[in-house]
Amino acid sequence: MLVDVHAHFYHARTPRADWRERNESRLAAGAKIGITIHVASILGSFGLTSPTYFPSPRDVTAGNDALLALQRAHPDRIRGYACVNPNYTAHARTEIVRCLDAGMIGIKLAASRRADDPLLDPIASLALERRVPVLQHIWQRRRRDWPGQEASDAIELCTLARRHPDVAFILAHIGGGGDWLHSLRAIADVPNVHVDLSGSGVDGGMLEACLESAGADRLLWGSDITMETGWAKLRYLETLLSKDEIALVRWKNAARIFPTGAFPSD
Amino acid sequence: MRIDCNAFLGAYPWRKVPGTSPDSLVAALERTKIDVAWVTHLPSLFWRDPTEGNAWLYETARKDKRFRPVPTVHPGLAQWEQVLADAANAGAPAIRCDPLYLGLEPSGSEMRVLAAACGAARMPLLLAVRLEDGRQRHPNDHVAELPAAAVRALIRSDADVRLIVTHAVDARRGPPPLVGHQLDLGPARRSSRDAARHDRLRAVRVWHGTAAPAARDEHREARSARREARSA
Repeated sequence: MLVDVHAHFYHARTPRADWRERNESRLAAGAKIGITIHVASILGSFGLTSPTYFPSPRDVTAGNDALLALQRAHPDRIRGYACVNPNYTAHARTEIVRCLDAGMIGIKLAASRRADDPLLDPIASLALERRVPVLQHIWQRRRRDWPGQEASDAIELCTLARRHPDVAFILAHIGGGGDWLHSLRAIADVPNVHVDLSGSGVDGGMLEACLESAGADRLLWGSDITMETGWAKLRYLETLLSKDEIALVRWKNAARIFPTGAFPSD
Repeated sequence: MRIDCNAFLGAYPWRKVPGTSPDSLVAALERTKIDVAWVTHLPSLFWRDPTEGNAWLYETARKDKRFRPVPTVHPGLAQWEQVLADAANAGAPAIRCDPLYLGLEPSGSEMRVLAAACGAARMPLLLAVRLEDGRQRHPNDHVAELPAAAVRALIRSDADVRLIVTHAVDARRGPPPLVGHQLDLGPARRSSRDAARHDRLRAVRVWHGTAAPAARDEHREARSARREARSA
């Protein structure tokens, strides 16, 4: 059993003309790697009609609809995060309820608001109510604003997580670029923040540092866009961990924080 | 035979990296089924005189048949020609010079003279685009990336020069703007398209390199496996 907690798919209203092929190639690569379930999100239009990290409500809904269609088309392989923009609180909450009711199993937040902003509290409260985790996009060490993205990183996520200690938060793609050591120091004593191992970064020492800061029971395997690096990290982890610990990273930790019945083994 | 043409021994100065000892590298080679590693002494790449790590490198490489020493040369220091001669005498498969880490102009006069000397000695010259992913470097690590234009200038500066450009794949931006887009395991695996590109530019081919221990070898291995599967 292998759960990819950080996957993406495309749809017709995204910049990629080859979106169908990319979706299929992701599933094909996942089959080779041995991924049982892709827990995916679609970030609106991925920049086509509104910014990737600040998607408009309309694009958010269209992306979620596309993901729900994929989930229905591949019920044995795809699960969804409801992607929302917390700046539109009412829409975000309505959209989360709609998508969870339709079978999605988590909430995805991009970088459109500082992670510790009070605007995220209603979303975290809903996550607690529905018992679903929140995958928060994080640049590893981001201390200044960028266009369409607020200065926000693991420090802000941990502030939010401390305000909502019963909600499971996932710090996105520790290997996604940036100072991962900064993030790992921040999350070390925040037990409801889990680390998703996805991203293209494969630095020597990064996985060892993840284990030191979070331990095997707070690591979640994921691949994001660059799947071969996810696979590589999984193989390297097998040299660091026992069989039982590897099972935690591969799927058991995910099964613990996602709703009961989200994955086949449940 | 599988050769890793880009392995390191010794500590990295900008952060803690595990597995930098010779024994650890041997274990990694066995785990990933790599037969031979071309090794360089990593700490000395940052020294004023990087050749001061070569003696340790030669001595260490003699202790394990899987290691081939790739010593470092600094063409701005006197008697660098002797370093090149020593490398040839020691049976080194290549010699290394990372100009931007030494404060040298990457296609300046020193590097051109070195390229010509390496060409005359039939000694491949190995250069890194960067030693660490630019997204997470230490804030004081400001060394620029080796420009593609400099690589092209060096190739064109001497008919016999053979360059091996390492760390040339950038996960953020895909294949490098240099020439070798394939991480080859050997010449026979090159596609005709890439062979033509290499021939036109005469020298550069990106070999199978892991950059161990600075980057995990499983990454490169996985990428190679994927490409093999794709071409099969």
